[in-house]
Amino acid sequence: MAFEIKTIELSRGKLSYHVGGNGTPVLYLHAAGGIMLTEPLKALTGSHKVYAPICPGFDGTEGNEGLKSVQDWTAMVAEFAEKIVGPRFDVIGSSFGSWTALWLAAERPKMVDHLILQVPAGFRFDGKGGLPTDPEARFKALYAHPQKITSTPKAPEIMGANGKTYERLANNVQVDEALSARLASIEAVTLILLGTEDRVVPAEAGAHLKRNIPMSQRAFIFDAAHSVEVDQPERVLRLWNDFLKRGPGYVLNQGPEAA
Amino acid sequence: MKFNFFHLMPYPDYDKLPHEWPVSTHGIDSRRIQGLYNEYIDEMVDAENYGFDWVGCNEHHFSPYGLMSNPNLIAGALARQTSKAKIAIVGNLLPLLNPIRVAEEYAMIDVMSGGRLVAGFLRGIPHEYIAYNIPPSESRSRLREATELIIKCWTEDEPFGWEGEHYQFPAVSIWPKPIQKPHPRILMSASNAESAEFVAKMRAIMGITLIQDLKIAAGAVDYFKKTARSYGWEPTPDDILVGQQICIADTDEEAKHHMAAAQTYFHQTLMRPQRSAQQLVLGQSRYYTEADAGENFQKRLATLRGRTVEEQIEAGSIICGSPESVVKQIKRLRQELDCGLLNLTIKVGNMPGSVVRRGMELFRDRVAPEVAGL
Repeated sequence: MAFEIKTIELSRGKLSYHVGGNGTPVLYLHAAGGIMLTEPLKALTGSHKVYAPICPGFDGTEGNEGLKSVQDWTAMVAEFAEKIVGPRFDVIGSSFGSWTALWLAAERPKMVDHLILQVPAGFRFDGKGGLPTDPEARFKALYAHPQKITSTPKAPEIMGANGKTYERLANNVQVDEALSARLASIEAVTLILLGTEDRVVPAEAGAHLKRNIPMSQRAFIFDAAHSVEVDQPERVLRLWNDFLKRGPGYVLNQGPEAA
Repeated sequence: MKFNFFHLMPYPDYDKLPHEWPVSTHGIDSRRIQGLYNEYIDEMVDAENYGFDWVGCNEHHFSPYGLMSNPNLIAGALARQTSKAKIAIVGNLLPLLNPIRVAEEYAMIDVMSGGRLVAGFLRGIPHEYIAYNIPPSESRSRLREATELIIKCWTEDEPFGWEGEHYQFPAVSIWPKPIQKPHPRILMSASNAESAEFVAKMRAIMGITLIQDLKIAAGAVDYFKKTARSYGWEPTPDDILVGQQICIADTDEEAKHHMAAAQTYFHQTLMRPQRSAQQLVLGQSRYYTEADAGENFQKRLATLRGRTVEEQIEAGSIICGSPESVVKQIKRLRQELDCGLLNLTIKVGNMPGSVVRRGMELFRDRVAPEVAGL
C-alpha cells in the first residue's frame, strides 16, 4: 500500500509525515539517514496504519532550531502522536529512531504498546561503533547487501542536511546516561533487533538494553549490517509481524496451529 | 609443535566388501563394539602420557568407517579420564546438526574438562548429507550461519534470539558458558579457497588433510595466510593443522608393511561404500560452488588410493617409518607447510592394537623428544 506525505502544524512547529495502510497504528521513527521506505515498511502497511514523521531538517524538510536534543524531538513526536495516531500504539524505531522511541516510552509509557528497537543508537559504550566518516567505509558499515537497496539514493545535499540535523540533536552524546537510568521504568513489551554484521551499533548496546528493560527480548538478524531492513527485509518483516501480533509470546513456535 | 592423537574409531573386523552406503549391520555384534570403544578410549586416555598434546575424535555416520556418530559422547568420557591434553573434536558436522545443541554440548565439554576443548566446526564428507537428509547445496551457508550462531551462544550473556536463513531460535541462553574466554579455539577445514576465506574471517585454526602434493598444500596455507592478513591478523604455526595417517615401528620396513595392510582395509573396505554415495552428492548437488573444488576432492582421494606407501611418504601424504624416519618427515612438514599442529591418525583401518601401542611408545620415547621443540 502506498504512502502519502502530509503536514501538520504543532506547538513546536511544522511536521511532515508519511502515512499509509490500514489497521492498528504503528509509529515508525526514522534513522539518522532519514526515512527510507523499505520493503518491510511498505509491507507493514498491509496490516497496520503506519505513521512515519520526518524530523524537521531531514529529507529536505525545513529545519527547526527549537529542536536541540533527542528529548525535544521526542516531545514533538508525542504531540504528533496525540493529535494524529491515537492514545496507544506500537512503535518501531531504527537507530536514531530507536533512541527517540526509548525516550517516548520512558516519557509517555501509556502511549507505547509494543516497542521495537532496531539497531538502537545512543549507547556507544567505550566509544565503540558509530558511523565512519569516510563515505565508502560508511556505505559498507550501513549495508552488507547494498544490491538490495530498492529506493532512489538521496541527493548529497539532503544527506548532508540529515547528518547535520542528527549531530545537532545527538549533541555528541556517546551514552545517554539519563535515558539509561530510566530503562528499568519502561513498561512497553520490547523487542531489540541487531544485525550480526553491524559495526555501527555493537552487540553491547543491545545487551545493555536487554539487561535493563524489564519486559524485553532481543534478536540477532543474521547477515545484516546496520540497515537491517535493507539487508534482510524478509527476516525483519517476519519479526515485526510476529512481535506486533503476539508480543512476548512470539517465541513460541505454533507450528500448523498458527494458520 | 603440538600433536593430536586422533582417532576415527574404525570397525576393524568387517569381513565382506560393502557395496552400498549406508552399510548394513547384519551380523555385527554390538558387544564387540563395546570392547572397541573401551580399547579406543583407553588408547586416547593414555595418549596424553605418550607425548601427545591433544586427543581428538570426529563424526561419521552409517558405516564401519567410524563408530562415532556423536564424538561429543567420547569427549565427555575423555574430559573425566584425561587431565592435561586438549580435547579436540574435529569436529561436529555443523550443517547436519542443531547448532544450539552443538554450542551446549561443546560448552559442557569445555567446562567438564576445565577449559580444554578445541572446537572443530566441519562441513563433513559429501555423503553424510544423505544421512541426515540435509541438502548438500546448503552445506556451506549452513556452516557459516551455524558457526556465527554458536559463537553468539558462547559469548552473549543476555538471552537472545536468532533470525537467519537456516536457523530461527527466538530465545537462547545456553548454560553453562565455556570456561575459555572469549570462547574455545575453533578449528575448520580450509582445503580450498572458498573454505579458507571463511576460516580466515573467523580467525580459526586452519585444518588441511588429504595432502597429495606438498606444494599444493603449501599454496593453500599461503592463501589462508594472505586472506587472514586481509582480515587484519597474521596466522602463526599454531593456527595451521595438518592431518596425516601415521605408522611408527622399529624399522622402516615394518612400518611400511603395517601401513600397507591397514590402508588396504581402509580403502577397500571402509572407504568403498562411500564412493558411490559421494559421487551421487557431487554429481547431483552443488556441494561445491567452484567446479574445480569438487574435482580436486575426488582427484585427491583417487590419487592417494592409487599410490604405494613409499609414494605417499615421498609426496608428504602420510608419515611412516622408524622413529628416525618419522622425525625427518615431521620436520619436513613443519618446514614446508609452516604448521605447528599435526593431527595424527595412528589407528589406520584395521591396524592391530599392538602396532598402535608400539607406535605410541616409539612416539613418546624417540619421536616427541626430537620434534616437540620445533
